[in-house]
Amino acid sequence: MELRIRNGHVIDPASGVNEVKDVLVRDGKVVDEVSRDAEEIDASGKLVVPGGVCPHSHIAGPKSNVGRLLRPEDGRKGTTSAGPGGGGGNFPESGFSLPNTYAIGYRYARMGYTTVVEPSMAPIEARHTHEEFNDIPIIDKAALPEVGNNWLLMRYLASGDTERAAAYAAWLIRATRGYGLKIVNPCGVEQWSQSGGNVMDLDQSVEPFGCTPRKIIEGCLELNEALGLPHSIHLHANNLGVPGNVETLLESMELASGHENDDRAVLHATHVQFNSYGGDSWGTMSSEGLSTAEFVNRNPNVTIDPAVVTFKDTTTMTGDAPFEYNLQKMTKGKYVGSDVGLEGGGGVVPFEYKPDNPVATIQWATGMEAALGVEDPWRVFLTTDHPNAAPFTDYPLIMSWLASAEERERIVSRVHPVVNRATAMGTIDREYTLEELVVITRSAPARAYDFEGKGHLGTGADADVAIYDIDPDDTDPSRQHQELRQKLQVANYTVKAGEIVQRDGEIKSEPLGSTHWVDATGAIDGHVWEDAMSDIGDHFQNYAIQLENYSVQEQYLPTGEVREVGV
Amino acid sequence: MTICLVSSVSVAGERTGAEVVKNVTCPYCGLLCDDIDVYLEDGEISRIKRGCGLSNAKFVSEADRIESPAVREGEELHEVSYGEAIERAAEVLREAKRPDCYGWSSCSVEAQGLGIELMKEARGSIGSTSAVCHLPSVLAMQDCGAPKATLEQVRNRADVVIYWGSNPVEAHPRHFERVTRRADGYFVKGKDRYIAVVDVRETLSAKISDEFVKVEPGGDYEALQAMRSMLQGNEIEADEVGGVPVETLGELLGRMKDADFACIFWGLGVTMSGAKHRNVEALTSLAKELNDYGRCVSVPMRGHFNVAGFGQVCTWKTGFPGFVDFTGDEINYAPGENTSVDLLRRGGSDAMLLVGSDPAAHFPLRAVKRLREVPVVQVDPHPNATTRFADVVIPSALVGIEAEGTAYRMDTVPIRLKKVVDPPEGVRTDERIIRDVMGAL
Repeated sequence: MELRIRNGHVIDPASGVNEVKDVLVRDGKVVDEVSRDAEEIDASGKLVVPGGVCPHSHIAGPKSNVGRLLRPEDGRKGTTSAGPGGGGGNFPESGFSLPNTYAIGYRYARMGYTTVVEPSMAPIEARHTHEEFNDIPIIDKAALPEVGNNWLLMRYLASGDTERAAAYAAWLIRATRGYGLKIVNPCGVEQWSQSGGNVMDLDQSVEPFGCTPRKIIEGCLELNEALGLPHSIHLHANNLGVPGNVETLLESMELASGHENDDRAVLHATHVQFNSYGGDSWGTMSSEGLSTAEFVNRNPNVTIDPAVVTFKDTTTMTGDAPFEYNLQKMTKGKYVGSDVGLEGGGGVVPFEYKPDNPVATIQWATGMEAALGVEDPWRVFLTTDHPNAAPFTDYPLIMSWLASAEERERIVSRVHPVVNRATAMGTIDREYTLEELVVITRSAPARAYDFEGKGHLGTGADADVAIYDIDPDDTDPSRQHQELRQKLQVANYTVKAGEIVQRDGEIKSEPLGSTHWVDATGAIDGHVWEDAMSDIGDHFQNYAIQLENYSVQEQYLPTGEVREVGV
Repeated sequence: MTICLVSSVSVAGERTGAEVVKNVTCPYCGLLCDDIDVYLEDGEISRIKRGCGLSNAKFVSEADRIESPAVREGEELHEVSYGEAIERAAEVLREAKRPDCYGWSSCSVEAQGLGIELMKEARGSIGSTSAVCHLPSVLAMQDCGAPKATLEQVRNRADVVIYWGSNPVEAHPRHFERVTRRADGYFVKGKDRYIAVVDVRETLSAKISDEFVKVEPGGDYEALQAMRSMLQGNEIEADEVGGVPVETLGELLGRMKDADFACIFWGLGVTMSGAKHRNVEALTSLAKELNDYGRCVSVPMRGHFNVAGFGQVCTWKTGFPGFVDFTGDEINYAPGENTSVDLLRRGGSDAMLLVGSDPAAHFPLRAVKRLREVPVVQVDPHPNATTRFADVVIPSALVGIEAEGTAYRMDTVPIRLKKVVDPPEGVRTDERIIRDVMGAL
């Protein structure tokens, strides 16, 4: 099948393109020429960009699903009918902060997004994540297994055995059909499992493993590069959600110094909004979003995503079990705790960010400051840590805020007055350009994951394209922020692998996108591999599932695309 | 079954002529033991190793099978071709104004997912047999949540274990062996765990535990709430609550409070008695509140091997854990209205598709009376009481033995089901049958 997207204003920062031109597509790829029979889309006066790439969104797996189970009231908020006249998709939608799997695919596609990473997969439950992936239409997916509280990894890294740790990590990524390494509150979740406590600083040791957060982060930095994984380590730092935690975040990011990769950063600090607070109590809490941004400006080895709050009734869900337990002590409402033996845990708590609440106001400012403070848009990626700070469907709203100081000023005047005392929002006049918005929503996250065909429209790229009714030559995002938001919310066209999947909000076709996973076992030396396999055998004495049955079978990857590294 | 005469017996007593499939998952109860060795002779299962009595019965026994697709004409079921049965099943769904679909806890997640898609196409409703077991646990979850854990977490850490309203020795026979009493965890040895059973009668499980607490029928709610109240520091001004001496409740609470890691497993004695979902709310709330002292988690003792899977797949596909109806344009979730028993009792459904269930044996009389009036399509490996009046009967393969797929353990850890032998000739998998009905629709 061929497609000519004619005469659109193409912004493709990875290829250095910002001009009116045609984009040509054949067999799912961007090509140099097509025949005269190619289907044609007239994109005159419209913005043509690569399909969006979302680097961190909790879309599938046990946490998402227990969230849906916990909150039928959220499910009912988003029900729409299927088919023509409804959303156009084959299946009806439900959910606001917790969409059903079909709605996830449809809603991302409507916004022009075509690739999404699920950043938190408990290894033993990986099969579940992949089962949900297979019911999320249209978008490509990848998932990161959690390792920050894994017993065997903690043992290896406590003793400094990064060789075997790397072998185990490669085995685990392959077993879970994952894409890279996620570290959530390293050692803190194990401490929670043991005593209901947490770890407070990078050198607090968790016994009997003798491991510390510092050892986990440093060890993973080293083994991640030794394995040659396409993505950097993906860190949810310790002390999330607590006033004064910016110190822990900065100290954690500092560990990246000394590690290098020519193609990408070595450490991605995720949802930094939740980790960039000053003060020492809820009363003295302040935003340190700019401190985090300034650290990134000084350290090209590090990338961040902000997790911007949009003042909605949403749902928090994280592998950070002690955080969720403490949060429910404050909300006094519904709570799910999910301990996962030998591997970590997690939790889910509904949460409403109210604009007249001082903490929520500071949180809003913290995320915005982090996003606005990073000078190089290639090192900050747009997120809401869906659904933690907001549902992903609020990306266009946040893009309009980033583009308009005027609109931010209006919000500052309407939120809690603490915004003037405890945040820098009144002093920031930076406005993202359209091209910068394209970078933080597709080009940069695609590069961070080294998704080779994504985030650009050069020859050979995956033909994942979004077309918006925005004429870059005739749009002032700063003043037309509302219009910008509306037009980014529903793309004129979304093209996935060369197929028109969405038009003006209506789903036209729903192919199952690919699941990308990594096999790095080829990077491991034979004898190290054998030693690690023997350790894994012993490690499984503590499981209630057989080692043979643990790995996710091929049957769960009908559209799997493996990336082999280290061979 | 033919006996393989050429096989010899080795020193260890194992037949050396037999083929062995190792680490097979047992498709019986929600514990999903995945360490079963299945011995095959001449393509048939001769015996199994490590399975419990229930497991053995499922793998080795020769329970009656539905031998052929059949369609009722008058009083009699007549054998028909598979294609004809599929066509008739589709016709029943097509002609119904509000078809309902029930069963699913003995099917794979793959088949369950297709069933949901089928009922979406047929504009009907769908639910699982959890309606008559752990639905109150689901409702309690929706009211207040719960502190959950995987079985690994309990096995490695729990020094105090309470089985409340559940009798694992008879319903989940290897639970003691694989998770608690005889399972040595990393932080605690099996024999060092303190195990208590709370139940209305002294079950076999109670007999081999450290303590049996006898609660009066329907007394669970009061007993649990009294424990919550004591945890808040209140004194109970009564000698006994729910038939249990207050002193005993206080001691049990003390055990849990002082534990490093406690776990409450709850069963149908909690979900299907007295205050039902309020019982579960009280239980999981108590478990949650105990985390202010040590650690405490709670795990439901799910019955059928994949009843948990239906809740999972229905939740991710529709946003709701079952009891959803697609008769309007939007998904409508209404437990208590859309459950099959309620629909039948008020004449709300006019056709039924039953996949792996026997409502004639388990539903209340009024619901069964209505069930006999509406066209019924039954997909099942075995004939049962419902077969006696089903209008279309389609035999299916035993998933986990004759077909592969996915099932969710009681703690919602997904485990692969294997295929070890072929199904009887002409018998299809649930997946294939549902797909074919959808095609014919």
